[in-house]
Amino acid sequence: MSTLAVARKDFRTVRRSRTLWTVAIFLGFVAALLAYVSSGYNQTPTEVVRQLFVSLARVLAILLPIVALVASYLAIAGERESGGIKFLLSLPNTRRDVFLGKLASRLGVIAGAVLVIYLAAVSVAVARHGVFPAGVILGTLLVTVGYGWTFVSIAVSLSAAAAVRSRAIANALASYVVLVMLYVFPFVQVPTMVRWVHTTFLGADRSPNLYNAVEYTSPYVAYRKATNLVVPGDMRQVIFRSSVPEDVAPGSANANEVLPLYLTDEFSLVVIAFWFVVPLLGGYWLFERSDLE
Amino acid sequence: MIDDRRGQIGAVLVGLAVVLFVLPALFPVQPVLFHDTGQTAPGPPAEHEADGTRLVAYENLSDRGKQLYRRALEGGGEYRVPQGEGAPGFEYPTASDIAESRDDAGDRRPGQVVVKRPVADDDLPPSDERFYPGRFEREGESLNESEVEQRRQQVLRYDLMQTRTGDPPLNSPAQLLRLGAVLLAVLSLCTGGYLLSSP
Repeated sequence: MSTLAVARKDFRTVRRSRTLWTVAIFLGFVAALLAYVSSGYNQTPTEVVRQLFVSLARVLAILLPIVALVASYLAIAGERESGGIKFLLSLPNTRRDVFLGKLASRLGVIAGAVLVIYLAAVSVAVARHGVFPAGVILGTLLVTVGYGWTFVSIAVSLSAAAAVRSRAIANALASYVVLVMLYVFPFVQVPTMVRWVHTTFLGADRSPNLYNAVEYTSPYVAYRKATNLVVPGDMRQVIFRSSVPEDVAPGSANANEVLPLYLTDEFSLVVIAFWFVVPLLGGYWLFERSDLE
Repeated sequence: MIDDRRGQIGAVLVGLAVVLFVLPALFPVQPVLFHDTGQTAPGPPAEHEADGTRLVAYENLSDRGKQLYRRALEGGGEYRVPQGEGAPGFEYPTASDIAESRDDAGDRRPGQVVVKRPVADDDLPPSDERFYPGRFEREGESLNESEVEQRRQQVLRYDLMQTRTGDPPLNSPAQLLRLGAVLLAVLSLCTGGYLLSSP
């Protein structure tokens, strides 16, 4: 009951943030404009709309973590720095109630933001193309909410571990760089660094499965793989091309099936679940043991 | 009192947003019929029908067909009309119909018609077929000036028009109106949400 009370109070407070509403407007506009310019050469309307939601997922793969981290990085650290945490804990609330309540509230905020984005994209897509491919739209919506929630989990956990605002900001920034940026830009990608260490520094033979497995530890990559689970086979993105045997076409329907289990699209759910649960356990453990004075 | 007013405005804005989100989806953009004379027939006139393109003399077009062809020429090569207002003799395939016909490698080119223009009709806007004299030299033909002019007249006389069904362009009022409604819906929803949330 106390968890719910904390969540309600926190949700009320977050909803008053003008910045978050402004971000929601910005993302809603981005989604609407993306849907507006969506088109495909010689494609049916259904194929165009499906492709739109795959493209939207690619854009959100970069932007959504920023929103989730900004919306959550001060969830607990802000209360600690302002002293509000003492009032929260002076009520019949335990640290667990505060932690879970803050988490639930921020999860709600991100789910709401994703819904606004999808409302805008769906409305424009249906108006332009007259079709509603429910499977792909609802599937990508679910996967996107799950992806956003992993970053909320990470941010709330890092916030619980930080005593001051500046540390919370640094943690949030570092997590975005380590979990997203290092998998986006060529030449400074984690798999490239691992390959260099493995082959040049250690002198070992190339091992594409190893590099791809390291790459798959990122929730960003897991999200891209997870979208493959909700789109038709011919629209799947080939992420780990180097692990597909030469006698199998990378874009073919069974390219996913021939991968080792830990590189399949289905394994993305394990990676996302890991990034949702493990940071929470660590964050809660640190919060329980921290000195709040 | 002030809180009540903010709440009321917020509720109205959220309600407006719901309406603005739903309306464009309930009334999608309707496809239009395109008449595009901007393309140029790829081969000499004799090859048109063998090429799978329908050849029709201007005089044999229906009145509506003549009108649409003229409007396309007057409109810089393209003229669009709502569905149901096309000419009975024209085909209006969708993009996927055209793609299918290419995939089938058939000898039909749906929606393509070559209009054989009358020799003398001062009222008809000039043909917009493009004539490339250099083409004959490349193909090893050496023509004198009068022969080139003769070929030019021949090319201009056979005007290719592509008719098809497609979405109106993004800058058309029908498209912009729906985009505007959704952008306004996002703005309205978030402003309303903020007003309902703030003290």
